[in-house]
Amino acid sequence: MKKLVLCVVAAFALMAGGAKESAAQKEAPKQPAAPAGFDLEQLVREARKEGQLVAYFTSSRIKDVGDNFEKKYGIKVKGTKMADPEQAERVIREVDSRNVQVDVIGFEDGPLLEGKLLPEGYLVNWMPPDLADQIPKDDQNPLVFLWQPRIFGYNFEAFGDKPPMTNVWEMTEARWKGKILVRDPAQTPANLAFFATIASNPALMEKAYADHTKRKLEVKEANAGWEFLKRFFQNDVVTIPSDGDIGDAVGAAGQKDAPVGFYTLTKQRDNKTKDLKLATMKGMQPFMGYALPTYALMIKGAPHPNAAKLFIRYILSDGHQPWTVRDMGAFSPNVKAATNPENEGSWADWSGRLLKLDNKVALKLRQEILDFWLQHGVKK
Amino acid sequence: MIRAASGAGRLVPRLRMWLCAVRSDPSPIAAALLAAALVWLVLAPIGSMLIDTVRVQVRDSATTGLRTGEWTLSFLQRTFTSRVSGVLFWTPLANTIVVAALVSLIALPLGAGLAWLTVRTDLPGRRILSSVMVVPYMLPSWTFAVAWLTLLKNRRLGGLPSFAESFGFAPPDWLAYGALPIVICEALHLFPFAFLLFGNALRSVDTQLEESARVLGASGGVIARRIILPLLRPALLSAFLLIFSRVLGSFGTPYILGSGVKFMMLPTALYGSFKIGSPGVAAVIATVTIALGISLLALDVFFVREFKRFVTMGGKGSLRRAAPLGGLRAPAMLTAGAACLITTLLPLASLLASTLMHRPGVFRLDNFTLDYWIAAAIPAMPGQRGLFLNADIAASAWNSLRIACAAAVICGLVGLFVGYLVVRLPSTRLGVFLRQVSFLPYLVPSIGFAAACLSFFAVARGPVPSLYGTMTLLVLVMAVKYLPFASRSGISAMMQMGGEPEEAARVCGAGWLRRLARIVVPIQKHALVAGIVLPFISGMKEQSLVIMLATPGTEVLTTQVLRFVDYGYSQLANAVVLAIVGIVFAFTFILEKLTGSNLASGVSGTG
Repeated sequence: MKKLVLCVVAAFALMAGGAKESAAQKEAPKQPAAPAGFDLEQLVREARKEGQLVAYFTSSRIKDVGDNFEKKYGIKVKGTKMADPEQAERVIREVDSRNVQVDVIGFEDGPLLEGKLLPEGYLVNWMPPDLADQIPKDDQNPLVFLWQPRIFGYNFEAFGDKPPMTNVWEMTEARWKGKILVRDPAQTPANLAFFATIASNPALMEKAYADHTKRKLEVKEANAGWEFLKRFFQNDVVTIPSDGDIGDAVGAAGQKDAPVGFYTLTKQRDNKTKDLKLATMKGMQPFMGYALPTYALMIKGAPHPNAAKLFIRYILSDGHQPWTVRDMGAFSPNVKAATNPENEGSWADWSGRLLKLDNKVALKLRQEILDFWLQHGVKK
Repeated sequence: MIRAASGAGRLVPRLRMWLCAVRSDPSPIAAALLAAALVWLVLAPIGSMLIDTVRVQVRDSATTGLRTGEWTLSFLQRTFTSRVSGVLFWTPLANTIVVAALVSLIALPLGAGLAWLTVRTDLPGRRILSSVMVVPYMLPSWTFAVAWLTLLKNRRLGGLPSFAESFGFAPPDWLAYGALPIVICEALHLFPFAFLLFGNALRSVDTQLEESARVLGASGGVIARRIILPLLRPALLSAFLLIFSRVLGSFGTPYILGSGVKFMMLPTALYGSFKIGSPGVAAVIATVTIALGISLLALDVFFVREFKRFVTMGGKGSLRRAAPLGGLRAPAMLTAGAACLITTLLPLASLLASTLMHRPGVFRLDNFTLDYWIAAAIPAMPGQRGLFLNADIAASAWNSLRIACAAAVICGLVGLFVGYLVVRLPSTRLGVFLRQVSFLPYLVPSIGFAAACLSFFAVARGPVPSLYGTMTLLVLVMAVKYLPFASRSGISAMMQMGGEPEEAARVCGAGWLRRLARIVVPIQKHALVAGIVLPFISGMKEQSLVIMLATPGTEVLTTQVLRFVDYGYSQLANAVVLAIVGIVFAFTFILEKLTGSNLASGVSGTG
């Protein structure tokens, strides 16, 4: 009798388990065969048991992405838009006080990440194994889930189709004094990294100067890169809290003498919704701006680790659409990802036009660049 | 037995007598414990902050190459003597002093003038003026700043146009941002304190002095100059020091109006250093802020003691002669009316108007909208809904209410308890010490105190876990910071209550706790309510304290406003400000009606 009951129970269990598996398979019918050792279904199951995911991202679209994630997997996401310095502060304090509340972050401060947070174990880098062949090796550790061009742009209603500047050195000239808008370097680590990369590429800057003025550059600072930064900062660069505000200020209609701005390309989506007149400085030499990566990482000791992993995998596979397809101006590193037709080229095209940040140099020079900015850019 | 009455022999019977006394009235022990707790809650965080000025934290180790935990003087050097020290510290310090001085220059005469009009003249509607002047106290200190931007900002920072721009006028930078708007907004927020302090002082001047002067033939002018004005000196000094220390600790206004043009004051410099990731420099700035604040208010306490001889409140009823205004009536009414309008109606009206329009100041029918209040989706603000449907705002509101209520109840009870102990203690030295210690949190500027508490409580110490990211931390910091208000009202209330009811209860055999619960608290109902309502109002509109401590899980309405301002969601920010004001008004009204107390008298007693 006991044996019979056991058999019946076992049969039921098998059938029930099987039913769940097929249901899960129905949800994701086109999943490629996972490499040995990685079980997506298992991850989904574990993630579902954990509860609400907490995410801090630099982008406000985390809310939409969170809603989509909930629709697909049934796991709620509490997504908050938060700037890099605040994210770093929270992560460090939460891990140090062993009271971790956040699970996954979308973070742009590469130098701090590579130099401090990853080596000292505050963050954990998790690369979804089944996507390893879809993401370029360089973007896997630390894991980049989004690339954005941060570029110089202008108002095409005021200046026409031809960009008013063709060379970065024009930004040090008197004509543009007080008319260049950038995100506050003191609050935007990525901008500091950009300036640090310029300072460590003097040859590039010297050649650009020679190309533009046909003269040799008179270098009073340490090298041509620092010379550029000094003249640029001293040209009354206006600091603005966010890319959105920069886009609004530069692109507002009806301006005769509009400023130029340094903003993320994706702000040009507001051309349609807010009637802005933004256009990129096509062909600017030696670069139009820089390539801004957004990293996706888990926090050490996160309360919902499996949900975090699932979320990271999601935004690398089909969850990135609100950033890269619905809106223009951002690219997923995933080679199979769709892109927005308005992007003015593929990521490969853009990589050729942008300066790539050097995280190690940027961390080493961060304090110096910041002080240089405080001395030349802030003091009137 | 009788021979052993010397030295150690006396000790045991004395001890036994003391134990007996203490059993029926444990006030001295309670007072000692409470004083110790308060000292610890205020001095320990400050001590922790002092340590942070010379020890390397994680964020600093990334940028300075020093190891976490190492001791160093580099932060002191960077803040005071390095090439960037001007930008980081000295210029903000100078700016703060200049702004505070200018604010006092405006707020003191304004407050004194209106107080005189209300108390000493026959200005029509002066009673209404009196009640209306309490309203600015209920507005968050940075309401004026937000309204100023809504009305007068220009293109420098981009974003939505202001009303001025929509009317075709582009305000110059010095008008839209920086020192001038900050001074005006702070003056508008702080002059009601001067008004209340002077009003109180004027009311308590013994008219016998004036009567004597009048009998001797002095004219009204001579009386005002030679008798009343000198008697107001303590109030003048008090108001000046109070205004100065408030400017020192206030974060919202300089942040909203100054950051865009790099006009930094100490609170924003502190916050800026903290946000960049230079906690060492932030600790140094916080320490200086705290030291300045303590010295300023210690001066106030010192002078008030000095001026005790100026207390002239006589017990006799006296004829209060209201000076007739005659021809000056109309201008006086105009001034008073303008003051009311500018400090209460104008900011609220402009905020309300902006929340009803897509683009501020464009008076076209299609530009008006209720979107920012009730829409399920707002195109310009991804992921956000109108205020009444917004889950984030609702969560923040709930947090604000919970935290403010908890802190207020703790404050009220502990404040009354402090009052009881101070007044009833047989040994006056302990009582005096407790009274002074309970005012200690008042001396520390808000943002400095918050930075210090963050530094101290964010780490687990012994049995106490880390409070980082918890609501407990916010409640604790608020309760400690507002305790002085509640203590003051508790002390003055207990002073007016005789000891007879308690004595009678003691004789009847009631224990100490029962006497407190059944005799003291019911009699002091009004003081208890005042001790709860005022901290509650302060807690609901508090920003400088919480800006360093709130995390996304413990977001409150005031930090939510700053988040919206940072994102450029101006209409939502303004709507939340109005929500804060609405909640404060509603709660105050309900509480006043329920308990029959009058807020204005409560505020003037503790302002």
